[in-house]
Amino acid sequence: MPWLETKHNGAVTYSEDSVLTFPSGLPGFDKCRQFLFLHKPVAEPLIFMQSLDDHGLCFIVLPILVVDSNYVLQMTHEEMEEIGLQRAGQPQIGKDVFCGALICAGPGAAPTANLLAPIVVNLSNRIGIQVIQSASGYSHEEPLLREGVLCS
Amino acid sequence: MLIIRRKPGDRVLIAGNIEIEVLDARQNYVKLGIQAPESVVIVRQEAQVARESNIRAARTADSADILLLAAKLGR
Repeated sequence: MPWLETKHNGAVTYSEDSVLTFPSGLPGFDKCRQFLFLHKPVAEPLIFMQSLDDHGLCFIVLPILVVDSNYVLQMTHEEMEEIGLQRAGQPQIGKDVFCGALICAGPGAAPTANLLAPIVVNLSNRIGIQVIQSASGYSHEEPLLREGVLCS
Repeated sequence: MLIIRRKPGDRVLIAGNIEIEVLDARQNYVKLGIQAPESVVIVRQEAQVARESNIRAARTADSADILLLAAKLGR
């Protein structure tokens, strides 16, 4: 089994079929196309999104419905095509796709979640995209620990 | 801020070599056509926001900060 030195979790082994592929990379990290989701019981509900291309790159992700249980994902046809979704309507979070928010939690700053540009992964083929929801009105820095913001 | 009223089909010129044409205008959006030299970088403002936000997110936190956040979220 291949293994990988990670930013936060030491060396981990993984199976090839758990690798997530982002054909366009992420804005600002266009060359990073392959990631792993690493779950660690002590860090739940946070997920480590570890790059395979750059071992020093690891995003922290929260399932979007944890941040906002009413979150509405609106993808364009082009975005759905990029991750191989062929359904007519919008994809369902948790059924068709994983949808997660990237977390900013730098020292000395209140943690925030990027709801404007969620990470969306097609659950059937593990192909992903960062969807920029221009018309949504969602914030790229939604405060995380505000009273009443979290839903379980 | 300079404010100019334009109709579909109208254009504005910036610095003599960047041309912006209003292709369509509806109640909730306008469609713009932009012609500019290749060296001019044009991105949707949200794409720039996403890029900057990703770079901040990548700098996020050492492992201790992450575990602390997880503990607060779990409460």
